[in-house]
Amino acid sequence: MPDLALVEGSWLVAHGALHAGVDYFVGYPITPASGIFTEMVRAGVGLPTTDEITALQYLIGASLNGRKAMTATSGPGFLLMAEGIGAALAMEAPLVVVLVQRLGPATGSATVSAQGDVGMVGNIVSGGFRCPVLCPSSFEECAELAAHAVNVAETLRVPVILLTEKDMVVGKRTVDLSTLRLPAPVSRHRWEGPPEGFRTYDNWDEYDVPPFRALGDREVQLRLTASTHDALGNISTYSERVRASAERLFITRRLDVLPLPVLDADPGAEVLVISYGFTAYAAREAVQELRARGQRVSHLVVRTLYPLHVPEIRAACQGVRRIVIPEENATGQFRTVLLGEGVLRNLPVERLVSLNVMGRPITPDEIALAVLDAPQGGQADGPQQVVP
Amino acid sequence: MSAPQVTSPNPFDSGARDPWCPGCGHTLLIRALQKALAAGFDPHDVVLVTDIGCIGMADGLFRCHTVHGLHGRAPALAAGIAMTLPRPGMKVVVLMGDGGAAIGLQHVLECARLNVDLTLVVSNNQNYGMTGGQQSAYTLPGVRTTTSPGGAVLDAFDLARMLEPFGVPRVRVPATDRDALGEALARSLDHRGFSYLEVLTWCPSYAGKLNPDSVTPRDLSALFEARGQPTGVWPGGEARPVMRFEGAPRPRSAEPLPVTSAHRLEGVVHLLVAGSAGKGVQSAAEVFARAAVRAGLHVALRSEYPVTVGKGFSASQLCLSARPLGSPVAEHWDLALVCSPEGWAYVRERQAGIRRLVLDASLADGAPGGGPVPVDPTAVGAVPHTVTRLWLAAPRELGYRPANPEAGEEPQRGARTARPPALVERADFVKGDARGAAFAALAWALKEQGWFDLDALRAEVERVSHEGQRRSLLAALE
Repeated sequence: MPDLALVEGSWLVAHGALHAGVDYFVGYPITPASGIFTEMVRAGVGLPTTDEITALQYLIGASLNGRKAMTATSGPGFLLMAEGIGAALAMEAPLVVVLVQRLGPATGSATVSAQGDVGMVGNIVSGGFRCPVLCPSSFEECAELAAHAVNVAETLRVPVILLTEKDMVVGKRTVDLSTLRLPAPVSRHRWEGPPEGFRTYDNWDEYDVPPFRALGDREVQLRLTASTHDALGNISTYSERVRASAERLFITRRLDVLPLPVLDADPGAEVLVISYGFTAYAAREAVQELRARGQRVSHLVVRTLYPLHVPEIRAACQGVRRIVIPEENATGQFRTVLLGEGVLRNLPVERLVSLNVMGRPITPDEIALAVLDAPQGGQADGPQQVVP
Repeated sequence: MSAPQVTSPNPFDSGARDPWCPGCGHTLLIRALQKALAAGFDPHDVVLVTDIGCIGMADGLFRCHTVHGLHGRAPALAAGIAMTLPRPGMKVVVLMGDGGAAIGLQHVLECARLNVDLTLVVSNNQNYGMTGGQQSAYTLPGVRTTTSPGGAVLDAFDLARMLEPFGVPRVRVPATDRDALGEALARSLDHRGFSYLEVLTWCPSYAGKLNPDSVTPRDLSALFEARGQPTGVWPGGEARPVMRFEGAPRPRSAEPLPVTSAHRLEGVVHLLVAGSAGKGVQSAAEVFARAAVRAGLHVALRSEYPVTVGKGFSASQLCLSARPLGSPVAEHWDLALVCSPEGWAYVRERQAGIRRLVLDASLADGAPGGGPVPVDPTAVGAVPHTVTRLWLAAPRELGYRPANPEAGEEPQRGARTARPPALVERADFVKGDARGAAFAALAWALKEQGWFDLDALRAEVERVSHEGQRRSLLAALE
């Protein structure tokens, strides 16, 4: 039975988060993320605060008490949260930050959608550490990946960023709620060994994550810190003794809990479109139209931007001669990430076409023309970068 | 008799050696705090939150739950902890220095405003000790630091006074006054809600060394007194509720919109309806969109209005589709319905992407209030429609074929050479009530186009719970 509703992306994000058990949301108003804040207040878990710096601190505090914590913001607020995100990563306090992208730089255009923060989210933690970044490519995935984001945060004890766009969360749309594939809620791994064996940052599980006990635990002592520390949580200058504990925070080895890219393969296709986020809608339409006209083209939608599922993406690139990457930013930020991670290394890809547009959505036509290697007509004003 | 082995009977003492310079005031404070905690609490019931700086290194000396965060943020971090503590009977204590109390001033004020249940202890040693003895916002006038070598000039923050309006208990006490400090700590820890304790300490390596005449352990009270910040005990005002945040999730379900009627749309249609703020444009579009969903259509609805929502234009973009929708954003519209001059101001910017423009009659040249509306028929529809542009703008292998007007073929939308017909028409949407104009416009379009039954729209109006709105919409339907 279809369960049709006319819902906003904001509602879907909240719906997924609540499904996963979020019970502490701290918000500060900012366009275009305020809708999520409002939904969470209506749902009885939203707490308003004075600024984004405070919001992140509240989240860390509640997370250390065992609560499932979340906030939502856009670029300017996200930058204020950055220090707290780094602290949460270092302390291993799980939480989720929803970043709804709008046009930058700085305050930019509050009501104009963009995909301009893709580079930034990968580089906000000092020291080169990264948080997992999930990116919904449909309204339905707003709910599904919001729930996944909470689960990933809990499993890996890290802050997780749910990266989306204004065009995805603002505005309503028909959604068949019966088709949502919400993952079962996951809670962080609790230390069940003898109390005397507990050490705050020790006894790593299969994901190299220390089992959790909440503040106020009557059996063990918690020693939490954002500074470099040993397995006990004692602040310690970087040395052999603390090296393992610090290196563990690089998350690249923990790919199996992160949402995989989705490949819509066309056998024999020599062109592959790689898309993410809101642009995936236009890419899907373009691919559909092209195939209806006899063109062979494959489409890969990447749903975890950091860390990359390099083997899966490389597999999708096998046999492909041209790759088209549409992005709503000026420089092809995700293309840069793909190249930086060596995704195309030693593959016989001849051309990487970066289709970039700022300040408006990319149209299916523009993607189709890039796939066909045809000149952009009409109002395709965005620079089309061709990377040999 | 041999000397007794030095052991620590205090359950809050981790046994670690204190990291501070010989003679540092922090040491006195920490030992007094451990003593006061031991008198009233079990270590498992206490969360100590430490800031950055010399005093922030105190956590290693404590045997209780400890959290060491970022500079200035300790009160905010502690507030997050205190308002979600898992069980009653716990105590949150924050230790920060005067530097932290400057960078984190807002957090301190917010803790007082919310009355978060925590004890904030600020060790005020007049400088940033860890980074080389620089002046802080709490450095008193005349005190020399490495960045105020001639003595600080500006007045210093007086946090005890700043917190006064919140009615929280406050104490300023020198670390050397062991009895007064012990008593103040005991009272603060016993208080339920926010309490502030400022402990005057000295930095033997910087402020102490640079101000041998004034900043000595014994003279601190006099120095502060002379600068208008006397030591003292200020009890709190009337008891206020303590800030807690339990969070009781009650997810809001979306209103189900089962399909109850049929539609007659084959492809996709993009609509734009624009009018004035506060005149029911958004609610009209919402009701229309819901009716369309119940008629089995896939709908995308986007609202647009200025940041000051009560003035200027209000517009809704509606996409109706027989098939599941792709991208919900349109930059091109099959039909734009404009109800007011404000609405026109919005649509005008987009007229190049509009195939057919229908303006309310009140927007005729010289209409009262609106004035002449400069509609340029040649500007409307200047850019082709996007949805099917691919058919024409793309190369021939896609099936591109120019329209043949002589054979009666419609110029295909999207052709850069063949511009679609741009139509500008007038209709009567306002009918005396500007509030119903947007809905009247949508109903007008529905009647003309027949995407679905008008009865389905009427049924949706009947479901509107707000009586005034329902009546207004019904009137607009007629």
